[in-house]
Amino acid sequence: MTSPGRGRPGGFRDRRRAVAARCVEMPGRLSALLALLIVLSGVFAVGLYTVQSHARRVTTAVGSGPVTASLAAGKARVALADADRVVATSYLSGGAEQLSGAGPVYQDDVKVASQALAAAAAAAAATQAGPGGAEAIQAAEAQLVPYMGLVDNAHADADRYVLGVAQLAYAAELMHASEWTSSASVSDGLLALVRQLTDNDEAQVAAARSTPSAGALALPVAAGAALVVALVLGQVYLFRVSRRVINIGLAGATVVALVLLAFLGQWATQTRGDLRDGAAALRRASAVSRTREVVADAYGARARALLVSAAAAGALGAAPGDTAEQLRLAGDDVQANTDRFAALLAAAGAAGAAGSGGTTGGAGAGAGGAGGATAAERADLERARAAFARFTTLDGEVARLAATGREPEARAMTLQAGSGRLPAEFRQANDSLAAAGVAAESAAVAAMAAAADDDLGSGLPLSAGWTITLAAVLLVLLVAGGMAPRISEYR
Amino acid sequence: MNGRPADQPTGRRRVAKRRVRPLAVACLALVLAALGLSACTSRAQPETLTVLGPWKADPATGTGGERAAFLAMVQPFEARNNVRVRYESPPDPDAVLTARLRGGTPPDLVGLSDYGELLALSADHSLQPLEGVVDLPRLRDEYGTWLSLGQSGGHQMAIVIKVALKGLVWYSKPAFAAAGYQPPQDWTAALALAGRMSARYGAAWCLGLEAGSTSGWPGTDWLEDILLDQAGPVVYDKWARVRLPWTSPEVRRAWQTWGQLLAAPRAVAGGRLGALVTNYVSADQSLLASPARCGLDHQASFITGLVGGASSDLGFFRLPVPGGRYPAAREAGGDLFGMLRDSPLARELVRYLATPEAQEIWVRRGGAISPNRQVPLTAYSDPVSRAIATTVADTTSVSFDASDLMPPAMQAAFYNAVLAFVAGGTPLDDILKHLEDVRLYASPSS
Repeated sequence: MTSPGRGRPGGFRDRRRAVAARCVEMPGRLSALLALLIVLSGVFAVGLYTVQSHARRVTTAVGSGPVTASLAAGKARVALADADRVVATSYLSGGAEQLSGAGPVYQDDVKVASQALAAAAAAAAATQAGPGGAEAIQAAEAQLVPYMGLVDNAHADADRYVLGVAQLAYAAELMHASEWTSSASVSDGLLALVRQLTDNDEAQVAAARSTPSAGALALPVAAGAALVVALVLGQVYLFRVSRRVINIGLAGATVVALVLLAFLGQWATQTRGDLRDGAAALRRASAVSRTREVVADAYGARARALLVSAAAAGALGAAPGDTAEQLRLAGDDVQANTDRFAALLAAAGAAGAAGSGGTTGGAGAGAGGAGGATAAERADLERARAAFARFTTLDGEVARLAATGREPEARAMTLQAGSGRLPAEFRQANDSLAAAGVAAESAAVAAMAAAADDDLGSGLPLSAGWTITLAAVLLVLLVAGGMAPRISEYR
Repeated sequence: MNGRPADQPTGRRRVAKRRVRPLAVACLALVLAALGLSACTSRAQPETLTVLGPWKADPATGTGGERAAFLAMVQPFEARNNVRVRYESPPDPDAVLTARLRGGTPPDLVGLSDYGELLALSADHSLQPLEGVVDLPRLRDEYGTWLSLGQSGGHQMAIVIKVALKGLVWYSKPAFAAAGYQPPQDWTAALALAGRMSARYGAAWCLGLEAGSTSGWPGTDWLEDILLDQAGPVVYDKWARVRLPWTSPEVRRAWQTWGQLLAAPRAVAGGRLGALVTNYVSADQSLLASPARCGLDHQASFITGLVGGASSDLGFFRLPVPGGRYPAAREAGGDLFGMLRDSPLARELVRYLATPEAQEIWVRRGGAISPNRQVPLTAYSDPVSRAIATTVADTTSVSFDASDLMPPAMQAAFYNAVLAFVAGGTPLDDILKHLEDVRLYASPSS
């Protein structure tokens, strides 16, 4: 390329013309660059604020909605299963006359279940599932009424043993029946309805685990990246046209933008970690409540089997083998419960081992963060497992005694408290599970609260809204401060 | 503007634009892409119609059964209208419906298994009249007398989407043929056949009375069938409308007849308790089980839908009862479908379910007889269902299921009375006296 020389015709004039033209063009170009940087700063700040406030709304809603609903539904399930167990054991021990011992427990269980269902309904109404979840809980509450009616009928018919036992069987069927909505593949009556609600709630919590989502993060990340790129290119451009080494304003703005992007990454990781911890703790709590349900089912099924076998023996026209058949069926139930128990404990263990990365999970599985089961929780689960194993062994013994005509002994083993037999093992398993459940529930609530409290400017003495506002103002001031002198210079 | 010289070099401007524009375009593209990514998460969901009904899955598997048949029936409607039908069949649909109505959140549509529910829902104005929804003159042609089963207070409040012929005794045709049995022609022959069955299988009758909170209803069908044959449609109708005392000789005789059958040695599989705690579907399925534990089953025609693909092995006859004078009188029941929340989609679903196209789907799956005459006999999947459909079409005297017509309190008492009767230990006089007390309470005008 040739440069216009002094001696060449038109060279000097050309240079003067070029400089003049550049002086005329520069303010316009620099103004455009300034406008672009300010717009990008604004979009970046708005994007940051939007993603943070949306994530906060989601985490708060999940904490007060599905998490609360799921924990309440879990309580309801445990209480319902226990009510059914108490009804069967009460009847086995003599029917309506013995209600003084078992009656209050049954009444308490029903009361707890009703209150828990009401709490779940209130929480479900606030969830994204909206009225659908509340309606389903309303349906569960409605099913409780005929259940209690059948239990009342059974106790009213206690003097007509066969009819009373049949009424108890109908009540148990209502509790454990295999019917429900078209969307459920397999379900089991009242308990299954509540279980289905828990599943839906857990699915909502699981879906919220990736909050803030990649889609929501895309805008602030893209705007921030674009801003940084624009600032760097702006710096290069100014260097070329003015030959100054660095523009302090743009450099400062670049640093602020990079810091904000780093905060964004750190906040997103922390929020997701807390939500993952909360979801893991919720799964543990849910697995524990299901396990308690299984333990109560196992005991209730054994008591019902003894009731039915005794009634069949006394009923007119019973065919030989009916009693043994009933016991065999009940044995299948217990075996199925044992298998479910093992699977649920494995699920609780898996949830306990699941990730962390959040505020509360930093302490880790060993020391008791929400991300993993605490040592005490694991010890409780282990005690429950051992107690249930003893329960299953004893249950097999009860079945053998009943099948060989030694029903009084089988009844005694099923009913006598404090003799180290079935009731004691049941209580041991149930108490251990209850303790583990309380720990898991607390961990779930704590993790969700931590997720809702996570801030974009964590570590700074300002709340997120102020952090973002100040950062945006600072960006604009730095950009404007860096560009304005250059614009005036060319004017 | 700034008085730019006319001879300003254009090449330099282009270079400057080339520098600034790509930067601006790239930044804007990034921002727009991010906006697009954020917005693309929301997508329109299909509308949902909620339906609460009595059609349940097979209790043994938790799948299939009438629930699957109903869902298959609505599937073309869902596809055609981009709508999702959320169907619920809780163990006690009445309790759930009552709670939903009280809570102000009823389902859009409801399936009803008896006329008493229709009356109750019409009386409290929960059901929406269908006069402006369906083409009644056309339905009158297609449904004939069946249309009246959905009427209350002079309004069409529901449509019948399937019917069942009741009062039939079912048996396994291969087992019958192998043993050389013949359908009995009189009561004595029926008792003798039951005796031979109990000797062969361990019990004569497959009886299951368990049906959740409506346990006992299968027994009411026995009594209705016997009473209809013995006393005729006029007395039956009076009884169904709670205008005949339960202590009347006709009613007492029907109970005694059934009691005579149950009192036979090894009459029922599992004994009395077995009958009480066995689900009616399980009892129906045990008729064709191997090895069979019983040989006869008193059930409505919907049994063909409960035994899987083995319905062609079923044979049936009408039970001859002592003093039976009306063998041509037939008892039937129907499932109704009504609208609780008026909306264009809900109306569309009611119209669709009334069509022969929709009802043919259930008919082809078995277990249902269509009340719509436009459904061809060739649509029925097996000869047994075709024979029943022909009987339904040819029957001139049809009486509706009496317990379904009774008020809810009377119906519940009837179910409980059946349970107490089968359980034994309660004198028949006491049972009938209690029922009569309930009748006077439930229907004081009578």
